[in-house]
Amino acid sequence: MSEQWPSGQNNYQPPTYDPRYPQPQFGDYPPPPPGLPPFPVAAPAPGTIHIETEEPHGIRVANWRWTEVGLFFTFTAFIVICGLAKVAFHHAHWLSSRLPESCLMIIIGVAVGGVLYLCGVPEPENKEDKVVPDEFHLPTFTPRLFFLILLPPVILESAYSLYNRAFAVNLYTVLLYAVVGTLFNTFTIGLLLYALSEAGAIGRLPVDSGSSVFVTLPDTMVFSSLISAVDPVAVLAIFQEVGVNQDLYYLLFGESLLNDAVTVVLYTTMVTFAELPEVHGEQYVLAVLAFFTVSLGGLSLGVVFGLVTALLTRTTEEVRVVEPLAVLGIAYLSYITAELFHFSGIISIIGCGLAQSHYALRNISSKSFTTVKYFTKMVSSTSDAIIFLFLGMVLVSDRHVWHTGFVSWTLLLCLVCRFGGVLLLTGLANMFRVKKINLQEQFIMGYGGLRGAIAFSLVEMLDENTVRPRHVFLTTTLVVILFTIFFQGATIKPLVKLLNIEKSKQDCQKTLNEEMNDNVIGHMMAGIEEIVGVRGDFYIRRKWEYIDEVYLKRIFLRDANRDNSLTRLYEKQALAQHFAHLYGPVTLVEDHKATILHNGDVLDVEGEDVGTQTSTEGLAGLADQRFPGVQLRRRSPFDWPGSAGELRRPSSVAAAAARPSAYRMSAQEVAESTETLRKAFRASPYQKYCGQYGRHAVDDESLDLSDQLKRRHLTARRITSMAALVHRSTHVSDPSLGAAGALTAALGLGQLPRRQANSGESPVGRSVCLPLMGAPSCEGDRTMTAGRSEPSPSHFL
Amino acid sequence: MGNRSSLLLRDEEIAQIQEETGFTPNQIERLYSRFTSLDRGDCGTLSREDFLRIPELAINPLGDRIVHAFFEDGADRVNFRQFMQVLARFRPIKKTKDNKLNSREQKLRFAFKMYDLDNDDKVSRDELLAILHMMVGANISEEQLTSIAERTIMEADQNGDQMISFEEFCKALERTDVEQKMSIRFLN
Repeated sequence: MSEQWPSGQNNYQPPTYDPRYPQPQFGDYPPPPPGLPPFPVAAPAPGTIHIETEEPHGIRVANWRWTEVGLFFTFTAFIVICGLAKVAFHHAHWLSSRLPESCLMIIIGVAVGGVLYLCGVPEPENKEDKVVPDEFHLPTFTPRLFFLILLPPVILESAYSLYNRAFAVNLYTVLLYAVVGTLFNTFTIGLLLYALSEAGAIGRLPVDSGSSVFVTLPDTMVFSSLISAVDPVAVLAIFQEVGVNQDLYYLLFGESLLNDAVTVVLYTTMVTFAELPEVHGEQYVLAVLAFFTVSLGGLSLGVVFGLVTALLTRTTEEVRVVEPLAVLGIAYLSYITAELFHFSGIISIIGCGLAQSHYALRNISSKSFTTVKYFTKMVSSTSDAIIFLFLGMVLVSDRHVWHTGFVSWTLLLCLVCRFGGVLLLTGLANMFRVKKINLQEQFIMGYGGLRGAIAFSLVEMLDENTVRPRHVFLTTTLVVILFTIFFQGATIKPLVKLLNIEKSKQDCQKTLNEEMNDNVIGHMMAGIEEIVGVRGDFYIRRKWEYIDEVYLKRIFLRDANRDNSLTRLYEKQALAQHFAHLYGPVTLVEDHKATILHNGDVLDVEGEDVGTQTSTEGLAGLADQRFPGVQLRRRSPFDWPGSAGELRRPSSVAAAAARPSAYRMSAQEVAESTETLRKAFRASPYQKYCGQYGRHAVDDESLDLSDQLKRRHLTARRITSMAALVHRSTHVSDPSLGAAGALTAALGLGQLPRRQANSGESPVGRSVCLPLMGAPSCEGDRTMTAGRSEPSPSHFL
Repeated sequence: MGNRSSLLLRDEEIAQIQEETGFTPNQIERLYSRFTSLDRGDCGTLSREDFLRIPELAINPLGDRIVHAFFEDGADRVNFRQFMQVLARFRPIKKTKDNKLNSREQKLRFAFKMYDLDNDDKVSRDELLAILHMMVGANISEEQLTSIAERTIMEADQNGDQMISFEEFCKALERTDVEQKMSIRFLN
């Protein structure tokens, strides 16, 4: 969204009814950045040490430097508290199941605003120069803060989520809604409001000077241009929780994002028209042209930036730390650059995000990828919370001017026009769609037309001299926003249930069959389209894929050949299964699902294993040579020496203590084996290759399949040889206990570190737990570490 | 061209095809003109060569399979009625009008034909591998392709015969929105 600062904006004058501020005298210079933390006037230049008192004094142990630090302190505290409010909200289940998060943030905002109001903190007027040093200064909502700081992360995160087939399929319909729908809404609302005013249904609107005026056509058009756009932040906040089917989600969400260009152009055009004494014909042509430069200019700028990221990330193999910076920084840069040219920043950052997902995010390492994803997620959800908090805070203010007629008519028209537009356009779109949008979905489309902070920012930027009933507009906008977010937002979830809207399918991973079939169907349908003689979506898609494959990927991807959706999925699945193999046994034993172990598929230990061979020889009653685990099936848990429940104990020490002492390992032994393993790890050639420490290298785990398979093999060996070892010791002391018990005991040892390894968060953390118990079998290694002991194996993690 | 074709197509034929396939008369005439434009020999039927003369189809990795699916067992020519019956599978499904030809099962059966190279109603590892070869070309190593094919079979195979039968195929694609993905909009 690009806001223009119309020239009149600079001489904004605070309302005369607020005597706290003197009349400021601005020249033509642009206003100071309201959103950025300004330095208090009294603050010294950076670098100098500020000394609070005039008289020289000696060194102080502690000092109070609020003037220098205070501002940053309040800002940071504010952000952190916003984040924490989310946490609190999600712990209050009775609340979070009834109310969308955005509503709660607004309520908190109202509370904060109320407290500040009662405390007499001067109400900010979006003019940072009024900040009095030494005064408690809170962050305040300013259009600039919103558009340049808070909005981009939210949009970037959604841009990454737009990289999806469902969005591409629905693109035409989305564009129809975004462009035509917004135009329709703006003109119907604006014209109808004016007509109502002319008909005398609204009456006079109070303006600042105490007098009142009838609303004029330019005024209503400006107002309708800002009130008619659906807000992405509000839609995202509500619909992510609702979970409707993908088509509906992308229709609504895509519309709210892409209508930005229309809103920008309409808004600036209307404001200009309101300023100009008379409008000539060429102005209209220019407005239409401006739409194309704003939207297409923004898009191409964004895509170029995205491609630059791809080229950059081709070269970052040695300097992994800069990868997230490159991706995120350039994305933000694309937004700012678009704003610089007064293009649509939102469309620009969407273009950039899409291009990045297609190329750059495949070039970077998996850790950088996670970082990017997580960082955008974190920042966007925080901004989201802050935006709604601000919306609540601005509610408590002296500035509001209520006008029942105008407010209620606007509210009504917003709803009616939204529904009318949706029905009309869906009828049009359904003529061309394969999958029609049914009536229930149309209703949700209309009902989900939430307004939000963008409208508020735009109305904040209005100038009193151009649009005289500015304060009425401001209040009305807030009412509309609150109504849509509170009333519609809170009722959407039950409505979706009531209308029996198709919900989103469980977002589980695609199977290989599905992926393969998607490819086949894609080719097949392109072929059918050729035969029928109608080149449609499939043809375009296939052509694009071809160009992408043959030319673009070679330029923008580091390793173009490796990149194929099928192989990627295959490797992902193989890896997942590999991890299941690694940790499956422990989990199974823990959960007492040992009976599944008879399935050779789950515990597929390589037969060539030397350890197994030697160990299994002596085992009486062992049916399967491959793995002693078969015994687990035969034995019911109650045959075990201890009670069944004790196996569940998280502490292996406790479990071990309950078992016969023969195979209980002392803490020292555990520590020793840990140390051995650690050494072994350090010495392994794989680790040597990967573990070179560089300042710029992030410790990347190799997710390469071959590496993982090698490790799996090693681990399997350790498990079996460990079982053998434990069995040998058991065999001597307690023959009644079979290998199954031994194995479980051995596996039980793995519990301690595993539990501490944050249960499955990181594969690195987990991968150490199983090898741990295999370690004692390496007798040779143990001699090296003899004498060294540490109390707990947890230090290994 | 359109005039000529509509002259050739008699009303009762249109009505019959409409009955069988659910296409509207307009769509039928439009497709008939396409059919005649493909029919270089003007003999009222299409041969495989006629299909493969479409340039984009010739370079489609699955072009041969698609064309093959139009021909019934052993036949080497396809007439307009058969042509329409195959195309009818790709009509979007409407809840109100039930038509057997464009049901989910029929769509899936067409897709299954892409894989089933030897017409034995089962997809073996080698067949899958061949399809994979057609689609991904030389980008991926033979070894990897083999393991992908094997794993795909393993995933879908339920009775342990190392083949995918049509039932298993349907089961594996339970979650796929075939109705939408395998439908195109026919112009009126």
